[in-house]
Amino acid sequence: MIVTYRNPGAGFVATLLATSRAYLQRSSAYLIALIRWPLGPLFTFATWRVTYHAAGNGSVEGATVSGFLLVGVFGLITWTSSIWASGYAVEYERGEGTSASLFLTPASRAAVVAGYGLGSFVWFLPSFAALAFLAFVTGARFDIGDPPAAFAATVSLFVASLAAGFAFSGLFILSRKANLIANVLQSPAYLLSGLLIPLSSLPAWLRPLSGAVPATQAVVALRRSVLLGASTRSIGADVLHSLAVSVVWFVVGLIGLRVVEYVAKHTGRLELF
Amino acid sequence: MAGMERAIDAEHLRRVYPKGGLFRRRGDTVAVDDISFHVPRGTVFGLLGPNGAGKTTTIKMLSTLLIPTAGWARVAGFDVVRQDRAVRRHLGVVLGGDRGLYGKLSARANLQYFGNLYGMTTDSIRRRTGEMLELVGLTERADDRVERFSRGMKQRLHLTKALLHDPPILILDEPTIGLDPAAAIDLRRAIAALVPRHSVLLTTHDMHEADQLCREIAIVDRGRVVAQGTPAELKSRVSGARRVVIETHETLNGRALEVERAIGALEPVRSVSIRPEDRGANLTILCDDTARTLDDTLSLLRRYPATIRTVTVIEPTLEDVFLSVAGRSFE
Repeated sequence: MIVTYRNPGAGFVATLLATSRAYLQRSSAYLIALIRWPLGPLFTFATWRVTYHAAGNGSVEGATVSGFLLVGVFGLITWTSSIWASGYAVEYERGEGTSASLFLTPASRAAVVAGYGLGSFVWFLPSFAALAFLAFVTGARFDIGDPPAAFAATVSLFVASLAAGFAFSGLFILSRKANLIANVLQSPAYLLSGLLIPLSSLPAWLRPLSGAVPATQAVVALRRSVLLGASTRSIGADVLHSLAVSVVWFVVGLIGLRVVEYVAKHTGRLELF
Repeated sequence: MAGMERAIDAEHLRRVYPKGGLFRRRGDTVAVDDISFHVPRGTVFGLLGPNGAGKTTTIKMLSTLLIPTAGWARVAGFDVVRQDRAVRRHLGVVLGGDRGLYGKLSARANLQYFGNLYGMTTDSIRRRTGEMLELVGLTERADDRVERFSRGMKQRLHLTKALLHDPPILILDEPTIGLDPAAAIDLRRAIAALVPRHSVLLTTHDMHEADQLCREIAIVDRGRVVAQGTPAELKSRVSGARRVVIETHETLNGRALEVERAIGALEPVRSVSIRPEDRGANLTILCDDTARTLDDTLSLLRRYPATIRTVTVIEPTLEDVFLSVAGRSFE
């Protein structure tokens, strides 16, 4: 037998990094993907910027519209990249014809799913840069009073998106039509997490549901820390709320992945996904 | 694995698939009915059978892709259901078909990725990737995308991927299917060179391949093992027998079963199978006395009537063993 990692944690990290690298290599093989990803978020930003302008809004919740939307589209990219990467991981493998090869390995399925999410996040980095530039040009104003607060909020947003990707990964496989279910869930998730609209505009009966979406409070924390100069202490509750909800979604996702693999092998549907 | 005499143990494996849609179940399909065999360490063991016999379902159960409906199996001493992760560490699998590799990645990148999935360290991945690509003659194409590879090259890369983590046991599902003859010969040579370092379970519907590579063979039909032994032992079951193949101009439409029964009742005939073809029919008869069988069969066929296109007499092969135990030809 060949030399393998003795420490399971090292093996997990190696699988995660290898999967994200393979994801980036495979994604960059398509010219349309290279063109599409940076442009998509820019168009979303521009559409919503024009919408707010047409509605006569110069500011949202104390921030400039461009700043508000910059954070929102940043969250949207993170969320979308995780849903369409982590959540979609096994579906991608099925489409590639490699799901059996993957399930034949002893690798942690969670590491593979997380690797897809990380790869997709890296893939979107140029979009973030382009988006930030556009936001500046259209009048975004920032007030970062406490950089660690902004960092903590950004990390919590990434963790929240990854948690959602995990939770959906099992659900998507079970549906056997991952793209349809992802599309159906996409719009309500955007609405409830207040990515592009102020949470205060949601009807009261929707707010509890909004709080159950892990990205919601992370986006609130990020907006307050980069647009309104909030400190780590003042966004602490939002970050903790987001992380707590994320943990629940992670656990649901991990259990879901295990159950789905077992059920798939029991019913003989693994390769039909 | 140390001190273990058997690489794979399979006992009374059974796999049933439910039929029907989301809301309505319409009975079951029995893919594997009752399969038992043991693969001795350091040998090539063959599962031989026609398409749909249950070979692929069996290896999916052994490689942890499917949970058996009943029975049990151990690979490298580990239970395939309860210790599935340990099984996967000790196993390299080549699944049949063209898929299973990332087309947009190079051969080297594919191996590097799968090396990581098998938990190999960076150094061992680098070393083994070079060694394995050299072994299968893909070094010069190592950095080309796999989507540009021929089927033979992909199949060699599949074998490389299965061997990368140096597993003690390999399962190869129809590894030469779809290859041109030269590529198939190359791959068979590579498979033969795997023992005794590795133990190999090979599924094939190619009689010649099984005869050439396997020390022991289990012949599978309709989800059951119908005969098992070394190629020589299996062929000794039909020693003295000959296969007579008669092609007729007529299809024997509607009367094939009647003709089959009539020929089967002839004294020197062990078994018979009739297969319709584009223009006529193919009668395969396993018999002990060629001259008498031919005399009786030809006179019987004249009564139907059926005119003869060709008659061929063949030395016994594993195909005749299948004909003898399954009561039908292999196709």
